[in-house]
Amino acid sequence: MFYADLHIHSKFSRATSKDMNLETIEQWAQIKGIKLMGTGDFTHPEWLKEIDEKLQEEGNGLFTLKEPYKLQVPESCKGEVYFILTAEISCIYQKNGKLRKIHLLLLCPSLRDATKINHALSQIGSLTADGRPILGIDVKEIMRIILEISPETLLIPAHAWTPHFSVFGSQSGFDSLEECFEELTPYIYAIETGLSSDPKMNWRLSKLDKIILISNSDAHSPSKIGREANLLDTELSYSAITEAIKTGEGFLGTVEFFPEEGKYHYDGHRICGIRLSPKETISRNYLCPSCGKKVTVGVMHRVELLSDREEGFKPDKALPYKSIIPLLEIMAEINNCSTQSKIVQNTYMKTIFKLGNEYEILMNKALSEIYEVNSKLAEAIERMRSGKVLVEPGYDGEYGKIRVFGEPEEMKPKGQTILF
Amino acid sequence: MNLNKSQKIVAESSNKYLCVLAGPGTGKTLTITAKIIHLLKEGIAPEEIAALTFTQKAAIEMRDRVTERLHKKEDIPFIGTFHLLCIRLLRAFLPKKEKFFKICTKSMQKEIISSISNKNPEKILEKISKFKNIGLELDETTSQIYEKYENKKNELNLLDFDDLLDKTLRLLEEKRIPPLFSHIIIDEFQDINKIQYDLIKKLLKKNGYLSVFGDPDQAIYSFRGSEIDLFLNLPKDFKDLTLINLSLNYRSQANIINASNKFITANTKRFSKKIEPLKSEKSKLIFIEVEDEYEEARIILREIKARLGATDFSELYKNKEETQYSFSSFAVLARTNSQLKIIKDFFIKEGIPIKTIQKDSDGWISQLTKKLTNILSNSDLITKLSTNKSLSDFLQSSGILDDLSEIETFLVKNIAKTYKKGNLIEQIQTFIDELSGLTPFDLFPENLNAVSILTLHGSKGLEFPVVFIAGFDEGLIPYTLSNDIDLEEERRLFYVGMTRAMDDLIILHAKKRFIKGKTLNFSPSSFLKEIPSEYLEIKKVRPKDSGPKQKYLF
Repeated sequence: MFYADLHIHSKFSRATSKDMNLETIEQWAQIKGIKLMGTGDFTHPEWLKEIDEKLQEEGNGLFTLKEPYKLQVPESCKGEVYFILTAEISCIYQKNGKLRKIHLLLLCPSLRDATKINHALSQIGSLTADGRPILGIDVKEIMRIILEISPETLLIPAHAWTPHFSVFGSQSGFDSLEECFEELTPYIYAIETGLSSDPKMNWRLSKLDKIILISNSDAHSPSKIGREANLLDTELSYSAITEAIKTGEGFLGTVEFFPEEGKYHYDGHRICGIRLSPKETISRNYLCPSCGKKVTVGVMHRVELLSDREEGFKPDKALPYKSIIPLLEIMAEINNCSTQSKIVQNTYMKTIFKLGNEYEILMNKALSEIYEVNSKLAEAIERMRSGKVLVEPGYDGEYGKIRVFGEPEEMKPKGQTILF
Repeated sequence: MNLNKSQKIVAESSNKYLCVLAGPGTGKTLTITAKIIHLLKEGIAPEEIAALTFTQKAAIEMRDRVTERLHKKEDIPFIGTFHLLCIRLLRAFLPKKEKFFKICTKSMQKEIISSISNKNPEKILEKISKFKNIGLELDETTSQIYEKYENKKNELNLLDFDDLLDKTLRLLEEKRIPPLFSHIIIDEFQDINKIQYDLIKKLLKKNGYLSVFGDPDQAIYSFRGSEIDLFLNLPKDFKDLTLINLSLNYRSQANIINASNKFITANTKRFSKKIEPLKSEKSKLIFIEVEDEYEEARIILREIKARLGATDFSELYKNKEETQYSFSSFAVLARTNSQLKIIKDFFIKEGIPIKTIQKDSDGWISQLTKKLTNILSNSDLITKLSTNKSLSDFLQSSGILDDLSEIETFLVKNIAKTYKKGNLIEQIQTFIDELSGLTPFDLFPENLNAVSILTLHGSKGLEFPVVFIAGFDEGLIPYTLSNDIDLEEERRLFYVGMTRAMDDLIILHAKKRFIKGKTLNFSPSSFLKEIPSEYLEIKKVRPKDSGPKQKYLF
């Protein structure tokens, strides 16, 4: 069994940390407890060059970091890390009279195929400007082109519910996979649920019953790696892993953000400080009570609109998942300061040194062992594991807030927030 | 067909000499198509009709519409460029020995010139063409090159584009080609030159009908030898000429029409024509003054993104507005190619898809024609080809299109699909002829979803929801940095640019820019005061953009 985070971005993408290089990614994967990492950004020629230089092919479609590049990792976290070639592309185009902006995640079987795909994509758009290239072409067309070049490449709609750049997004998405991918819909085996939705929300759409729900971090900096991930039990090879994502065979489930913490869980207007639940949005006719313009409709709302089942429905074949809060955030709450603060950073590293990687701590470690190191942390993790958390849902690009301690009334909502 | 009143009158007119003043966006192509169909329905034999265009693109579009309308591909009148018509006539009327000439395409012309001299082939060819077309005298060196060039072509049995017209006209004058058509229709008549004009008159049968469509206000090719006077003198040349004005504009919102209508009246060499907008008024024309060419590129991109919404998560809160626009809704126009370079580089760096008219975009065509020619000269293959298989099927199965990009394949198939008649070998020969006539204009990928970056000349015939005209600087528009300037033509050129816009027209002026090795200061174009201020909004770049210099690095 191993954890896989298949969607991250390199330092060649916009608004990413310059530490997103292969060395640091490998280091942090171990700290987090992840065995399989997406390389991200293989469409970027310079990043692909680095991949070629620093990684060695394992002959099974996976890669490892060459020995001389390896960075120090606490003994307690040490583990093997494999890389798989991944990238994200952004298709911006018109269809049925509307502007569409769809992000697509690519898993690619080899450097050879990646090079061929890059060649084809470079005829369509610029690959050097951003690790996530903008292509002015129908996502279905690009899919056809890529599958013709590399039939083994797996294409997955990225963060499928996010309002602005996704297949179901309220702003520039579609109402169904069929409307977007038409006759190529059978080649969509999985969707990425994104931070603002969890499997439970997706279960409400019967049309998604056959679709594997995957989760990834979409990390732009090393410490965000693994904030969501997948649990697989397969042989370590490209074909086995993609087969699991296609069929569900060997795909055991996901590690999830609490969806309320995601940036687009609720509706609202970030600039106006207005957060609305889907019901409130409807009662206000989709208009912002502050500026009067249309609010950004979030993920929960979209699920409501497109779903054909009641809340709480669980399909037979539903896979289990675990909801976590990043360890740094828990520690920030305990210490009552930011995740960037020295004390939080230090405590984090100390804990990791003593107890092992973050996933181990959050999900498996016996509470008694954690208690010995940090009693408050043990209590926090117990609450998290049993889902006893307080939430202030995110909206219109504003992360939600999640707490394990305190009473509901302690959450200080700003603006028009109404809690559930 | 849905025609408005004047379009219908034109389509059904039985006037002998008809001149249709068709301003921008008034449905010229539609009307010409309707006229062709009307003639056919009246029982005129297809071989009596010729419709002439200046671009293959226009010809293909018309042919498509006619075949679609008539539900057949056979017995369609000639619809094509002057060059294509001349090729057909020469192949039909030249004696056997000469009729198997090959066409000397632009790239072959350049090859020949380069093999003779190390001078810039582009410039030499321009001089030679002017000499052949309007008799502009050659200097001594060019004259020597010219002689060798002609010899070389004769040796190889090649005819260049000017030769095609020239030779056809000679045959007509010598009565070796008789007048062939009783109905001639000419598109974009403002682009006609003297040779083409004479050609038409000779091809028209006695008592034949001539209909010309065009807009003298869009005559922008005098540097290629087009003569606006030919248009303006039509009423003198054809005594019983009927003038009809297509006046309803379907393209642009009212402010753009009203502003451009007024603007062009400063010219004297024109027919007064009416254009009425069907769309009601939207935003005013926008004038923006910027520091330099880099800020100009940046502001254009900012304005595009403001209309497109974010293209990236990090921009979400700058650009809220979501629209129905897409990358292809935008065009950036400028007077010169060197201005466009900076804008192109900036867009590429920002990852915005762009498309341009590339001068040397026809390399793949030469290769394709070469391959086809090889097939025709291979006797083994020839026997196999003696079937009535359609050209499209042949191209598909031969694998000859495999190396082409998606856009190229699309274009080739589009041309090939109108072929049905004759055996395959003949079809391939005609197809080669047509391919060699394709120009960079014809190759512009109109359907590609990308921002168009074009010269004002290159924008002719196209339309876009949002148009930016960059470099509205005195010196660039009108272009006075060279010696021989024709102010009226410059005004027409800007008029063409303005009338490309459907919704928004944004004009930018940079206070200084780097041109020909030095930084020059510019004032706004003198044309600015010719745009009535009631249609114009002057916008300032926000102060934060002009603060301490932190320019983009390239």
